[in-house]
Amino acid sequence: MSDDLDRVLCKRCTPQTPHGLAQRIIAQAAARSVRAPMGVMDEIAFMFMVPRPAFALGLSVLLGLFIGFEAGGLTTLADQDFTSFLVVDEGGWL
Amino acid sequence: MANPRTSEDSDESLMIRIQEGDHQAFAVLVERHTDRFYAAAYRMLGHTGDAEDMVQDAFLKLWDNPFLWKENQGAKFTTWFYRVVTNMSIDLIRKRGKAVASDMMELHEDDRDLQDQQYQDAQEQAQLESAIQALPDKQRAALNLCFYEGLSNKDAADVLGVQVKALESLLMRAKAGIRDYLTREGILEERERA
Repeated sequence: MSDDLDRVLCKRCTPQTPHGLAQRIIAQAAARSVRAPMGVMDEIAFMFMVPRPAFALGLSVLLGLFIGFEAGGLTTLADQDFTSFLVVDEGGWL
Repeated sequence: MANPRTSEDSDESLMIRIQEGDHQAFAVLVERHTDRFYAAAYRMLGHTGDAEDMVQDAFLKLWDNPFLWKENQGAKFTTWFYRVVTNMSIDLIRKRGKAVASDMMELHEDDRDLQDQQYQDAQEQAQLESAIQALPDKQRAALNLCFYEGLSNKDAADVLGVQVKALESLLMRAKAGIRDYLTREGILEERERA
């Protein structure tokens, strides 16, 4: 009886795909790929967007270190005697 | 620029390229699988218009969100996409509240002009379609995936998100339901007598 049922099940029709369905799907996807025009505010926001935050942070650190090493010849506040500003040269006119 | 190997690439490598925004890869995938997934949707929904919309929506959803498919989870593209189409079909049927009458169930007056044997076959097919559409969603999906789509029990179980044992139980109940229906309609008895 199971064989009989299987024979009946095999008689089910195979549906025919509507003509051009694949092409319609491909065309619709292509139409969605075109970026919609942005407003002015969106354009400005887009300019400041950081696409890869980790990459941007790493680059900032490297840039900071490079500038720090390059500026090594300059004196910094730490190199100076920080008490010097307390001494006021009054010119001795008194 | 189109990659000349695109048409020979596996579904999974095409998916990786779709994730990079490659429309050519998407076109190859759609052309390769539209027939298969249209048939799957039609067998679930029983209506040409609904099945067409369903396949279209499923592929466009894939194009809009290609990262829904995750390479590292080791899912075969076809198994994953059967799950998408089956779930969308079940959602649509539940939203409607009931399955629509299948296009295949319609037997027109003109069909009476067919030869006796052809008419009997057409009647048998219509009854079979009614029996399948009358099954609960999960049983119908299990039967479609294993019997008509040719998936292994394991793949079909993955698609439906159940254990293999549970899938086998769904299949058994589906076949029992169809057998009862066709026996009531006299299709199986007639065949047994013949």
